[in-house]
Amino acid sequence: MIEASAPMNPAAARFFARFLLVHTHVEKTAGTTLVGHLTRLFGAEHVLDLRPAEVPRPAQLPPERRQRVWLLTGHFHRGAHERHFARKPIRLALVRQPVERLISLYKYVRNGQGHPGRERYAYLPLPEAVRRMIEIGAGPIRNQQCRTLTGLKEPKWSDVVYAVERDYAVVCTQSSVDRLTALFNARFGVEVPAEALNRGEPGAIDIDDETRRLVEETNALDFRLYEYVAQNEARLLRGLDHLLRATLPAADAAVAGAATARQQHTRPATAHAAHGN
Amino acid sequence: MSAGVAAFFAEHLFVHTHIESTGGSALASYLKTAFGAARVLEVPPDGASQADPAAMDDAARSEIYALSGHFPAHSLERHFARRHLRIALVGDPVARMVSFYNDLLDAPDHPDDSRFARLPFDEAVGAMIEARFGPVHNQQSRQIGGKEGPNWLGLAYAVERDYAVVCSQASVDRLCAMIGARFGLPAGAQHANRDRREPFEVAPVTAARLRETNALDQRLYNYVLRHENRLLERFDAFLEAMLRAIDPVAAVATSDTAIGGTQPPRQQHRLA
Repeated sequence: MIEASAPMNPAAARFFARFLLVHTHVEKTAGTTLVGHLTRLFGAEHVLDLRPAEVPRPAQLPPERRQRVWLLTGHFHRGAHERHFARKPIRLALVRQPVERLISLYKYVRNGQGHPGRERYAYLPLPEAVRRMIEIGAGPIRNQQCRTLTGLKEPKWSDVVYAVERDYAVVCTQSSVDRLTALFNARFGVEVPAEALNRGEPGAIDIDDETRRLVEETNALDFRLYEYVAQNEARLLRGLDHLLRATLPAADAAVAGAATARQQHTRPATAHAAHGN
Repeated sequence: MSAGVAAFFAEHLFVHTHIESTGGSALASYLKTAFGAARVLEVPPDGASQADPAAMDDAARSEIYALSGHFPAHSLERHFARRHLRIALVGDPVARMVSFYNDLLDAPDHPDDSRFARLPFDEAVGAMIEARFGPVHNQQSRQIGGKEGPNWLGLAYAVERDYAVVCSQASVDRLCAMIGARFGLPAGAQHANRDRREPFEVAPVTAARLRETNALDQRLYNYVLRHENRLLERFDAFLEAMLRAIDPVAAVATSDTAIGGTQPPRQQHRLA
C-alpha cells in the first residue's frame, strides 16, 4: 500500500463522511497520474478504482467498506455508481485534445497487454485502426469524452456545457493535472510530490491529413469540449478550490480545532454545567 | 424575446428560493416583468390565477420559466423535469429582522404577525426567537440547506454546487441586470417591497442576540458577501455558454455589459 507522506488534514474524515470524490476517468487524459496521486494522498484503503474487472462494484460492497471510500474512480460515465453512496458527489474529470488522445491510446494499446482494443484495432496501422474504431464503435471516437461526461449516447453541446459547468466540480485539461494535484495537496495539507504515471512510450506517430480530418469530423463535440475547458480551466479550477476551502478547514486550523475539541472533551463536568450545556 | 429564451427554458427552470426580506420580491417582480407574469409561478400561488405545481399538467408546466417562493430547496422543483437552476439572495441577520419587523408594522392586521408588531422591536425579537417565527434560528440556512438541514458543510456545498447563484440582497439589481443582459431583456428591478419605513438603530444587546441565534446565517451571509463577485461571474459564464450553445445569435451580451456595465456605483465601491 502506498502511504501518505505526512499527516492528513484531520478534517478529512469529517469531510468524506458527507462528500465523495468521483473521478470520471477518461482514458489517456492523465487520469492514472491523478488517481496515483490521490492514492498516495489518501491511502489505498480510501480509493475504489473500478478499472480492473475483478474489483467489486460499489453495489456489491458491504456498507462499512463503502463508508471507507473517499475516491471512486474508473472508466464509467457521469452518475454511475453514485447512488450507492449516501454522500454528495464532488465530480472530477480530465479531458484531452482528441487527436493527441487517439494517438496516445493507440500507442498504449499497441504496446501494452490486456487492453481489449489490442485485438480489435491496435494490430492495424493507425489510419486503418481509426476506421476500424469508427466501424465497430469502440475506442476514442464519436465524442467519447462528451458521452462519458454527460452520460448520454448522443449529447448536444448544451448538455456538455451543463455537465462541465454544473455537474462537475472541476473539469480540466490533461496538461493541468499537476495544478489539480497541487490543489489537493494544498487543501488536504499533505505535500505529496507529483509523479507522472502511465505515460506513453516516447516517439511520435504521424497521422495523415485524411485520417486527421476523419477524426475531427467524427469528434467535433470532443474538440469543442477540449477548447472550452482549456479556455475556462483557470475559473473551473478556482471553483473546486473554493468548494474545498469552504468545506474543508485548512490543515493547521483543523489541527487546532481538533486540539480544542480534545480539551473540551476532557474538561470537568462542572465546567459544562456552568455553561448551561 | 429571442427563440433562444424559449429553447433555454425548455431545458432549464429558474428556481428562486425566496427568503423573506432579502430583496426576493424585487427579483421575482423583475422575472415577471422580463419574462411575463404567466411564466413565473409564485409559490404559494399568487392569487387564484396560478395553480399548484403538483396539480399542473405537463403542458401548463412547460409554460413556466421560473418558480419563486418561500419553499426550501429540493422540494417543489421535482415536479418539473428540467435542469434546475437555483437562485437565492441572502441578507444580514440583523438588517433582515429590522426589515421584517417594519413589514409587520405595515401589515398590522395579519393574523399571525400582529402579535409581534404590537411589541417594541427588542421584545418582538425575543418573542420571535421563542416562538421560532420569522427570520430567526438560521431561517436562511434552513431554506437553502433544504432537506439536509442547516450545517455549514451542507450550506457551503449548496452555495458552491447546488445553487447556480447565491448573492447578497444588495446585489439584486446586479443580478437582474445580468439576467436581462444575457436574455436580451430590459434591466431594472422594481423594489416593490422595499422598506417604507426608515431603518433604525438596533440595541447592541439585541443585535448580539440576533447574531448569536443566527450564527449559521451570519456565516452564510459573510461567505456570500466575500464570494459574490465570483459566484455572479460563474452564473454569468454559465448563462453565456448555455445560451451560445442553444442559440449562438441570441448570446449577444458581453461579459462587461452583463456583469460590470450595469452595476450601480455604490455596489462597485462596496465590492471592490
